[in-house]
Amino acid sequence: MRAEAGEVTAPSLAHVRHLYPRPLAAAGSPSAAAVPARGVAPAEAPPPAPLGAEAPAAGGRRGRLRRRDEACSQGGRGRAAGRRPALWSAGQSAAGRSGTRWRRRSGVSRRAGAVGGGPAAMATFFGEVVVAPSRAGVDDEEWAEEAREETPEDREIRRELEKKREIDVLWTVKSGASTESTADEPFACSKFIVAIGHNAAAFLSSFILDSVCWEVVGVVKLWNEWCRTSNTTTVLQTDSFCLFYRLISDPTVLLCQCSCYVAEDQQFQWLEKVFGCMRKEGLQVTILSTCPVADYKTQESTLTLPSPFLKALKTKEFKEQVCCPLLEQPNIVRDLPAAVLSYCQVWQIPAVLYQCYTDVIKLDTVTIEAFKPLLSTKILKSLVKDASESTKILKKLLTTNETHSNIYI
Amino acid sequence: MFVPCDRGGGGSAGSDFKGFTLLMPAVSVGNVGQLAIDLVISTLDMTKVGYFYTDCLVPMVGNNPYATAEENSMELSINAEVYSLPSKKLVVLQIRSPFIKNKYRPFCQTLLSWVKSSKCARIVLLSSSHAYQRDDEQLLGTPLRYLLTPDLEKAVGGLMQELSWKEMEKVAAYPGINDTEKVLHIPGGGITKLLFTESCSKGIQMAVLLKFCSEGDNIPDAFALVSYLNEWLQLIKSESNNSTDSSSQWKIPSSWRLLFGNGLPPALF
Repeated sequence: MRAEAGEVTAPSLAHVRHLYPRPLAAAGSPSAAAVPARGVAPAEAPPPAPLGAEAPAAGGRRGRLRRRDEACSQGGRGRAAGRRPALWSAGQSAAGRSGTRWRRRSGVSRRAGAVGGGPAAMATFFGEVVVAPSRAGVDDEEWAEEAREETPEDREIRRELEKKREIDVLWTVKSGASTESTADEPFACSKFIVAIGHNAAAFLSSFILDSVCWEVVGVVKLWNEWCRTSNTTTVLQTDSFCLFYRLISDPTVLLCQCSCYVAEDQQFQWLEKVFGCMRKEGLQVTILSTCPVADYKTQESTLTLPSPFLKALKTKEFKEQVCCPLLEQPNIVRDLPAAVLSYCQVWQIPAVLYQCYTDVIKLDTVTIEAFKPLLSTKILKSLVKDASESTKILKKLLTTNETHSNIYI
Repeated sequence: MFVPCDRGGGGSAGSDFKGFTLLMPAVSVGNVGQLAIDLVISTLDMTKVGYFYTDCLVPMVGNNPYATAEENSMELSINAEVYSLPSKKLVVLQIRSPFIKNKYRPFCQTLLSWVKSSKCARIVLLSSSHAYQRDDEQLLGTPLRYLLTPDLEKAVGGLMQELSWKEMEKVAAYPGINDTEKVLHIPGGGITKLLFTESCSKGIQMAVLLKFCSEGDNIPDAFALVSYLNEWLQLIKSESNNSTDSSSQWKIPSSWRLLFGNGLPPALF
């Protein structure tokens, strides 16, 4: 009975493997390391446009259910992208594989299976037994197998990969009140504003930031499958970057623009390293982020929703007025914004997250302007710059972006 | 790492779980364990006492999943939270997001060391396994199974026989070739097997309760699993013996709304 089931599953395994290639780094596993190019985005893929690269992975059953821009925002985490925070989305299907047993039993080594990818290109025939996607998340057999097969060489590769995926926060503060750049001397911080994603970052660029009042004080260096940030602090708006600015007149006001993809396994590090440099007393955190309106759960259809719109989430300690409605159950927020807010909730830091639900994920004026109500909040009010300038900068930003996206037409 | 919610109030109230039973889900097929835990927390109206702060889970935030009224609906919830009910000596860890790859083992280690340091008496893990991978023996009778570590087996004695529960069968490691070598195999069970074997070797009292199921609407599975748990732990009084009505005793949390997507666009009709 079991053996038969295994045999029937066998051909489709390769098929499934083809559909859900391992993301090189999220996996960091020996087999992924040994066959790095399979289905993984080319190393030099331009980070802002992961869609094209992800297409083969998401184009299968997952992609069918998801909007184009959502897939884009997910940054193509391959298999990981399909894994949704489980409980509140318990009705949704997700990518996952199972049935690794066949490989083990038949003695086909995982590596050999991966390299000899010939059958992967096999056509899908009607009636073929396809392994059901599962929300289980973990295939216990899989890790056991990985552990068993790991050679010193594999371990070496894995270690190197892990080292490469480590995040570095480089503070470039010269001298002043909060001098020492490293984590041994945490600096005081009263307001920390984090903008995650291109639209949120552009909002800060056009309405808050300018070179007169703000100076760059730090940069996050990170490396993953979708993003390689550079060391320099001079970046184009279209680059992927994560920069920290400080208000010159009040060095305790810190601002972060993060438009790069921070992978799941790097988010915790990001938190520890960034917040590790700050003193927690008197700190207040504001997070700005965007996500596809298709992710919004409501009784109505999302088609009828007037997007973009803002929703907020706040930690227990945040007592100020919030300028938009709070996010209703059963909606959830994921990724870096969620990581930052969780950190603040656990360590009792007052924090608020403004999530903009939008139907355009790339840089877009309407989406950027949806954040405008924030300008009247207590935190941002004192930081707003001249409004007429803002529109001009906003236009410039978009034009730059368009030039870049038209270059291949 | 366990971080208590309320660090001002002496700290003892939140983190002392001496002699408590830790109830937790495995992130497994159909999220049955997690759904069942949701039912327990919501029905017993447990209070949140802390967070399990870890780098092993995908970050996630949302508002209170067990909101009963407008007032308590806007409390932030994160991916791993700890709830407690001292009157029943029960502490519950709810996990709301999947594991990050290669972090299963570190998670199990941190969890077990927390269990030791917090002096919890035993762990009860709610889990599930792929129904389609059952063998002939497993296909017979009830889809519910249990597993006990040797240390817990000593402690509870023949209770499971009294309840006439079925132990999870071991399966042949090499079917068709050698049927004598048997191994524990829980496909789709997530960290279940790892946590169980670790607990066995570390002498921790642990029970696994699981249900064979498939992906889909797993709410009935969650009810079945939580009733199974209740047969043993008697968390709520089973008013009637006929199991047909058992689901009504459990309170469905408000966050289970819209599990199957949004409303339909009116233009469809």
